[in-house]
Parts: sequence; structure tokens; C-alpha cells
Amino acid sequence: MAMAILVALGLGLLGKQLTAQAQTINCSPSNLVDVTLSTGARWQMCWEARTMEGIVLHDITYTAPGQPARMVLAQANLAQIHVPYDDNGARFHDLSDYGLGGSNLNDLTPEDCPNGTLIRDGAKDVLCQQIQAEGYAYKYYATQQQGEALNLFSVSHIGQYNYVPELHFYDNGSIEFGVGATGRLQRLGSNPAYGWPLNAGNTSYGISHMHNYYWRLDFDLNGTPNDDQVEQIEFTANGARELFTIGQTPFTTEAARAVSPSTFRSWRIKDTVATNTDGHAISYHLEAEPGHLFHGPSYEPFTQNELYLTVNKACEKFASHNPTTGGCAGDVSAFVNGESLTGSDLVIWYGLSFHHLARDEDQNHMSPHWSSFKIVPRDWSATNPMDGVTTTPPPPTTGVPPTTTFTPTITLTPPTPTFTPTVTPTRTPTDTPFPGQELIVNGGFEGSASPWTLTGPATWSNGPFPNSGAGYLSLGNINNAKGSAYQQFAVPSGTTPGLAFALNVTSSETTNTAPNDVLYVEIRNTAGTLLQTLATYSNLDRGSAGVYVLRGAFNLGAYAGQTIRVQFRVVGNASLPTTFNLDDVSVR
Amino acid sequence: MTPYPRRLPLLALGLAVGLALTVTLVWTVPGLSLQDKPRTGYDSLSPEEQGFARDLAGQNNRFAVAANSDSRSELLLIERHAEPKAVTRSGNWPRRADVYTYLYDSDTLMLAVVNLTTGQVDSVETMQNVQLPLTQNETDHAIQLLLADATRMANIATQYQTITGAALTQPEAQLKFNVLIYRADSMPNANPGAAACGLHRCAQFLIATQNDVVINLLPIVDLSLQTVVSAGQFVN
Repeated sequence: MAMAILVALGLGLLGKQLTAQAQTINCSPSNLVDVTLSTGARWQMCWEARTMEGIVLHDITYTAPGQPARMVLAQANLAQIHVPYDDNGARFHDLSDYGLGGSNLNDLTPEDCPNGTLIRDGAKDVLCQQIQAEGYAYKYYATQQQGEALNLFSVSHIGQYNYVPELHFYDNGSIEFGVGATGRLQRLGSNPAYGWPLNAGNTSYGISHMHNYYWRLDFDLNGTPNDDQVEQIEFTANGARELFTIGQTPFTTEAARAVSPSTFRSWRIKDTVATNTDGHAISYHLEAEPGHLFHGPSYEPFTQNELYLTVNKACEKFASHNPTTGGCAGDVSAFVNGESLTGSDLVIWYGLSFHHLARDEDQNHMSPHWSSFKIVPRDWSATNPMDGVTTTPPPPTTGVPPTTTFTPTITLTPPTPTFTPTVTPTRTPTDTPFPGQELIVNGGFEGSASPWTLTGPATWSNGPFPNSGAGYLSLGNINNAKGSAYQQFAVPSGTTPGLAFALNVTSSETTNTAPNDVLYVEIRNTAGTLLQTLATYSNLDRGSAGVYVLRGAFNLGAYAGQTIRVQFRVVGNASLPTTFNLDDVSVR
Repeated sequence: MTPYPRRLPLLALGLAVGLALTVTLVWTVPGLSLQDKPRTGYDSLSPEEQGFARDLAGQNNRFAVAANSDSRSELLLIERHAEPKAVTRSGNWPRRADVYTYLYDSDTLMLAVVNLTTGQVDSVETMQNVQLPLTQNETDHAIQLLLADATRMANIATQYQTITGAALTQPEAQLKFNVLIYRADSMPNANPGAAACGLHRCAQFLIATQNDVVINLLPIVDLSLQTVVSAGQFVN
């Protein structure tokens, strides 16, 4: 059952320093992100959903335009979110003690992911993949180049908070690691010393607190684990503070270091073998731009520094509350125990902090507050890889993995068959559809639901509530409903047909404000990838049983000449079910 | 509901049919859903792989004996085993799983590393003072223990009355509970009643009204002792 996705790397080999290594990307096609941006830069990686870490990325590989593919990171993930409150009323270790994955990892909807692609893990859409304009790649008088980035984010709810770990992979090779914290305030108190008043009577205070985010970055520059070296870069001022002299100090044993903004302290990890065409070691630079700093009590030794440099061990997983399996220590400060870094596989741990002082606007829902840092290529290329690129139309924003035209090619061995409908839609007459012709077969659900493809709680019925005829389709009607019905058809070229249908929503929900159970009306391609959400309806649209409302028409002219699916997809919450009765679906 | 169903003995019994049959059943069932596609490399374990891993761990003698000697156990987590770099760089490695089970009487966490490719249990390790996130089963049990504590619930009801103006008569319907692992070494100078947490398996509560106004109490339930050990109220 082992499958290998072989990335054949064979771009113009310009000598030893540019010789690309054959690399194997080890994941299924469904777990592979492979995006070529319009500038020709390409990012490839595997993703995995884990119970504590949430989304973990593996084998992150960057291809600068016109250059060979090179691995940057063997693994990258959040390794703790530590939330101590100013009043010492709580000190949470969210990642290890609660978990960003499992049931806390949100099932994203198309509305969570505008202009993006949802990536599925089993029964949930856990990742949103987007391509975003990032403004200037550079600007020089009349010359300019626009840049892009691949964004990947997930959402995890932890108590009242929703965390949004989001990574930006820029076409110039930079990676930004960020976490947004949104949702609602977790703790309120009454002591003005530790919070900010939130109500008119000044009796309720949002208690101030830290969010300390720790990232674990296992660098394997150029795909080789044991030939990387980390050095600290720092500047020394002369007495008059007019001259600043660079100092570069390599680490030879495991180390912990605090940030030092006044000396411009930063760190870079370089490959001791591979160079660019200038003969300079390829490297990545961690640009420390700390905002708030949190150096906590002695029993939180992992907070005493921002950077930890360790030899990679699989059981050293979390910055704090690390499971002490396999003889590993309990926190990152104890992972640093004098081991030699020479010839070792290195891991960089980086922590950044945000002190949250509540404000009135944090009610009822607070805007995300973001904490992020970047790693930037340093001498990865001999010149700016964005110079002279030819921008091509952006790849489709849908499809996993998106179609890529840039070499190196990926060979999927063997491709995993995906779900295919067991019922092949048939239509009569079999002539080529003509403008105005009905394109939906059995939109009235008469006699059966054939040829509609049904999943989950999508049930054909000849019960008491048809809109016309005798049959209709019921979607939902259970808690945690996740089901769909779709039909695939070709939209004739040069036509602008409209989708219309009759919908009757009934619900046990009583809320007049919360759309807890939702019906999405979607256009998908033949692979099932979402192209457009035409409309959403919810329990808020509820009415009397059997009283239908005609919805549409929704113009499908944009899909002329394509074969598409019209899909009705229901997603319900855990209680108080909603039923979406559907009848008389028409596209013409 | 019976808390902490003793799953492992049942599994061992169910597996009396033999490993070979189990392997066949797991890997040759045709026509299942997309979730059942072959997994490889870094892919997280499929539900079928998790089931196979659980069964394999239950077959292991050391694992089974330890589980059977404890009156209460809980399967906490089954997850893809993080392989060392030397293995992942080979580009091809067996599917292995970590199976974590907690034994309450001895406050021991047991980790079996099982090889889904060979059908072998590669190692069994026991440890203390390691607490993985709570399962839904444990969360449900902790909530019941808190609801049964009249004193603590009275404190919560007082706050609820202040916030909403209404009486707390149906806590399970009127409140939202988020529950997470609590370790005393996170807050060594607070919650003295919960000092054993960490060695013990404990649950700390985050409570809110149905419209998401938080109750500023953080009760702690000791699941090893099966009692509420702290009101979790911080007075400052």
C-alpha cells in the first residue's frame, strides 16, 4: 500500500551548486498541496491533521522561478499556545492540554474560504487554500512586479477562542507563520488591576492575558538533514554609536537565546554544502521582530527565551507539557542539554507573544489579533528570483492539487481512485442540448431520485409535502446533518441557462438570529471541486411544511461549454434539526 | 451511561479469531467511502487503520494484562507514529500507530507502538505524569461529577443568576462546558486542592451561558479520584 509521489527534478543543471536532488514526497494526492503561482514560483508540501498540533506540514519545498526545487523544511507546526492570565487565575497550555486537532479542528465552509479551495480530511474540510495578491514584489521607477502568496489556514476552537493558524508562502521564497485569535473573551473579572472595563457600570473587566505561540521548525535545507548550521547575527555599535559592525556566531551545541532588538539580533540557518551561483551558502533568515515579550515565572522555563536550537528528536514535540515518552524532557528549555549540533539534524523553536488588553470592541465577537513572523531566503538565489519573471494567468483557485504546468513534474504512483457516482446520468433525447432545453433530468423527483447522486441525509420521498407531482427530496432532518444531492450535466456553449428550484424549509430550531443548519447551493466541477456557491439557506428561512418558495433563477452562463454539477449540500449542527425539502429543480 | 467502558478485554476477546483474519478484514473490504482510500507516508491514520491499531494493541500481552489489572481504563488517542528522520528520509516506511491508554487506578499512561504493515506491536511503554487531552467520554463523565457537586453548582448558579437574571434549573441545557486537562505544575501557587493533578488525570472547566457569557469559575474535577477537587475560583 505504500505509494510514492516522486518529484522528478531535472531542471537545467548549472553545476554542482544547482544540482537538484531527487526527492520523494510522501503523502497521498489528497494530502499534497502543490501550487504554482502566476510568477512561476512553486510550493509543494504534504499536510497532516494531528490531534494536538492541528495541521502539520511536511517536506515543504520551494521552487524559485527558473530554478531547481529545493526543500526548505522537513516539518513545520505549532508546538504550543500558552495563555497565562495577568491575575494568575488560569495558565492554559492549549495545544497540548486541549488540542488544536480532533473535534476542535473546525469543519470549514465555502464562506470561510472566499476565492479559495477547501481541503478535506475524512468527513471535514480542515484547510483553506487561497492565492492572494501581495502587492509589489519590487518597484523601481517605471519597473515593477506584483507578488503573490499561497495561503493555508485552519481554524481550531479552544474554549471561547477560535485560533486561526495561517501560513503564507510567498513567491519570493519567504514563509510567514501566523496565528489569529478571534472568538470571544474567555475570562471576565472584577478587579480593575488586571483588566479593562467592558460594561457601563464598570463591574465587569476583561482580564488581560498573554498568547505565547511556539513554533517548531525542522529545517532540511536542500533536503539534507545533517549539513545545516545555525548562526546568530548581531551588530555592535562603536562608542559614538555611529558605526555598527556585523558579528556572525555559529552555534556548535544546543542553545537558547532571547531576542535583542537593540542589537538587531537575528538568526539564520544555512546549508554547509549547497551554494547559489555566487558561491554563497543557501540559507533562510529568521527575522526576529518581537512585539510583546513574556518571560514568566521560574516554573515556566520555556518562556525565558524566544529561540531554542535543538537536535531533532521525534519525541520532542511540544514547547511545554511535552509527553515524556522515549526519555524526552517535558519542555523545550530542557531539550537544550548540550548536545553537539555538528552533523546533526537541527530544529529551531521560535516563540512570539501578544499581550491582550481587552477593549469594548472585543464584545460580542472580537476581531482577530495576529501574531506572526517570517523566515526569508538569504542567498537562496544569486539575485532576486522575481526579477524578469513572466507572469502567467493565475492557476485555478479551485482544485486540489491545482493543475500545474511548471516543471518539475509530479508523478503520482498510483493515483488513488476517487469517489465516482455509481449512477451515470442519462438523458433523453440524446441529441446535443440546445438553448432553452431543460438540462436537469428528473428535477421533479418523480418516481425516484434517479439520476441524482445522494450522500448522507438526502432522502427521496413521496410523502405529504411535494411542491408538484408526488415526489420530492428531503435534505437534513437529523442532528449533525452532512449530506448532498447533485446532478451533472453539460452547459451548452453560448447559452446562459438559469437554475431555479422550489424550496421548503422547516426546522426545530427556535433561534431567529443563528443560521445553525445550512443548505448550500453549489456549482462544482466533475471532480467535485467547488466552483461557486450560488446561494445559502438556513433554519432562518423556515416556513410551514409543504409551503414552497421558488428560488432563482441563478445564471449559469459562466459555465457555458463546461460540464458541471449542481449540488445541494446540507450541513447541520448538533441539535434541533432542519429539513430542506427540494422539488422542481430546473436548469434552462 | 457507563463511564470508562472496559474496552480492551472485549477487544482481546474479539480478536480471538486471529490476527490474519483481522488483517484480511481490515484491508480487503471493497467499495468503502473516500475515507478508506489507501494511506501512505505522513497521511493521518484512517478510521480503519485506527481500529486495526486498537485491536493490535489489545492483543499484546503486556498491554492487555496491564489494562485488565486496572478497573478503569480509557483509550485516549490513536495517532500516526512520528518516525525518526532516518526513516522518513528513506522515502518509504511502514504505517505505524501510537495507541495511548490511561489506567486510572495506577495513574499510568500506556503507549503501544503498533506496526500496521506487519501486524506487530513494536513496543509498549508506561509512564506517569503525562496527560493527553480528554476524550469525549471523560469530558461527559467530568460534567456529571461537577453537576453532582451541590456546593460548586450553587456557586455557578449564583453567577448565572447575576449574569442572566434567571435561575439555573437545568445546568446541562443552560450552560456550555468546555473541559481541558489540568496539571498542577501549570499553576503551582494556585488551586491547592488540585495539587495531585498531573499525576492524577484532572479536568478543568470553562463554563459559559448558552449565549456565551462566561462564568468566571474554573472548577477542577479529579477523574482519578472521581470528585471535584477545586472550586477554581480565583479571588484577587
